[in-house]
Amino acid sequence: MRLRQRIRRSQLYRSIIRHPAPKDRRTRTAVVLTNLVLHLHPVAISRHAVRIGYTWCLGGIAFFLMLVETVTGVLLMLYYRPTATHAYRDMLELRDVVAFGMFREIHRWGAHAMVIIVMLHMLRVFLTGSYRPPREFNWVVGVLLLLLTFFLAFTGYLLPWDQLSMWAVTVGTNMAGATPFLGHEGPGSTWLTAGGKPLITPHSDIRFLLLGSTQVTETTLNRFYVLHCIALPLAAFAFCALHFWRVRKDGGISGPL
Amino acid sequence: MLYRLLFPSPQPAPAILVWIYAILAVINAVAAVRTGIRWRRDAARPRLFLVPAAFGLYSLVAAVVLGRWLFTGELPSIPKVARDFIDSSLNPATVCLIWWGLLFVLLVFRRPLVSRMARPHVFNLPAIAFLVALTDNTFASLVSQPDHFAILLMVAATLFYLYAALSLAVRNDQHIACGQPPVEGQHREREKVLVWPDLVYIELLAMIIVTTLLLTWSLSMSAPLEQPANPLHTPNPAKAPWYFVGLQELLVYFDPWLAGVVIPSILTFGLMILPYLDHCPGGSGYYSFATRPRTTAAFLFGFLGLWLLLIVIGVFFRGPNWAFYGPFEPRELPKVEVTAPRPLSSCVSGLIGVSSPRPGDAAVPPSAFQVLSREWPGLGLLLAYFVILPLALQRGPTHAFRRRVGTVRYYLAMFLFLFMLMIPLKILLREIFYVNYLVYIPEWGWSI
Repeated sequence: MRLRQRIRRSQLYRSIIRHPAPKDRRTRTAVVLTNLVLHLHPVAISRHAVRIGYTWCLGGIAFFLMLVETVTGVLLMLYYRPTATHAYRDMLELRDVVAFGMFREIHRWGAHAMVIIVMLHMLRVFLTGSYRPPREFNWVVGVLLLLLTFFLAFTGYLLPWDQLSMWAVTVGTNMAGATPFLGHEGPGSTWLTAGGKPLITPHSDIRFLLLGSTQVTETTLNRFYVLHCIALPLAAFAFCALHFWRVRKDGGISGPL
Repeated sequence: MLYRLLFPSPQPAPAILVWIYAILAVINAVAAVRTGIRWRRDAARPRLFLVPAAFGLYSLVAAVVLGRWLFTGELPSIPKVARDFIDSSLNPATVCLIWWGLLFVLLVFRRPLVSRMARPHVFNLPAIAFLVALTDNTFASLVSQPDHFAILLMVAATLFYLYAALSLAVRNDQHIACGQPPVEGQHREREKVLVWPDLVYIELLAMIIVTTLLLTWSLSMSAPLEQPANPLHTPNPAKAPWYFVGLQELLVYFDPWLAGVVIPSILTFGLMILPYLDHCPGGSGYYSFATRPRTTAAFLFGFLGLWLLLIVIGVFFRGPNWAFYGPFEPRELPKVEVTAPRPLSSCVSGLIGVSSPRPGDAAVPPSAFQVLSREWPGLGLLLAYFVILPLALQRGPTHAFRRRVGTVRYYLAMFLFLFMLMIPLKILLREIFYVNYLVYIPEWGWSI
């Protein structure tokens, strides 16, 4: 006990953790106000909002799963090379050789769980009427986050570079080729011409933009890898920050007026 | 006998089934005791005795099944006749209608269904039906694929959550009907509690539970890895990732430009502008059904009746060549479903005895007049559906809504709702009347 107090009083400890131990109302408030992670929360909150049956912690679990995906994703990046020669072999290595290679499983099932939880979170927000004013813009941000979740999961699906992933992505991106006006198989694509030549060809349509090729090849693997590991996570974290900020600014967690 | 309990024989039923029956027996026994205690305390409602009795009965049933398995090694299964009947009577239309019917019953009879009396049956009957079906090898191998487990989890979690939310909504609606605030708005619930410790510890607990479940899942099920990617060998069927299988399933009913691009874009747009369509404040922050019955029913139909259902059909009921297979039907026998385009225009011209010009007859692309004179039934129907129907409805059922939100919001909301409703209508049109195009213009690609 005396050791603990000495540690708490030491210059080192007090330089890192500014607030006193959370023992009474004042110090508990101080914890939430001074801690970087906890300051996302208000200091006090209605009793109904901490009931499990109201939120089922769905938004928090979605964000937690996103953090799990980030950590396991970084671990996977240490072993994975997004090239046609290496990608599949690195998968086999992760499965058979790497110690605690289980983080691939955590990453995959965590991704599935995240898609499910984000959809359920949307259902919860709808059923409690929390999308209604004044939170309407945050609902829009939430729909964007749902889309980002889908695209994150979709781009990650290609990376194992096995039959399942390659053909799933082929099926998924073939639909982009049917975009009206902008896909080479889409209606109205022949209407767009420049100087008498068709503007939308298999080499210049929206599907080509997505794949970097006319079919799923190594270029696609690289493109999806960059999207999956850099572009989409950055966007998702940015929108998450906005989402959390707006929860606070729109009056905290929803409750009856 | 103890050996057999610890290491159940894998044949004919998966070993895990026995454990699930055991868990079911224990859970029901616990529920029976807990509800029994509550019944003894609540002397005013003697009929609640039926709740612990039902839980006890289910516990007994599970125990009897286990006991029978110990002596004979058999688990209850569906007889071959019943399985064949289920396989032969299911097709996309019947699956859709059954599921929409269940959803309708759940929403309309929500009060009796969420009551304490119904709870034992609501939880146990689907579980037992699923366990009985699992003794079939085809069904078991279908649902036990690693990626498919996530979908089962999604369906189970969504239904559980919907049931829980409806229970709270029914309770709140009763409060509101009596002139009281909803439970979330009662004085005690509006009091403030400190985030540290009341919220932070719940969050910590949630994180621990999620981590435990995720680790258990990852330890017991390895991530799938098939043969290396080979662009020369197309698997049959090639399926999209499960969260996009619903859109792939739409390809049966719509051309790719609609199924893959326009429908998801418009529905996402509709989802985004949802809060701007009915902008009156209030009714937010508590579970309720009666406050916004139409919006809630429409949203739930879109979420469970279309998005979830199409994923389930695409994943579990579609086999080689994207043909429809019953849940107990082996996938090894490839079926070929040949569907020639059967546009509405040819049905109508056949009906009234006029031969309209067939598409693709002439080598030169047809003029706009030719297309119009051929496709007028479908185009007229779409015009009536999207323009005249909202106009007609605002004189009757949607009059109050139109007055409240104004012209622009009214037509936007009606367009989005009718657009969503076009999906089930098109499914039924194709599956029951075998009409797969309302407007068929293959020359230009704009077929609907």
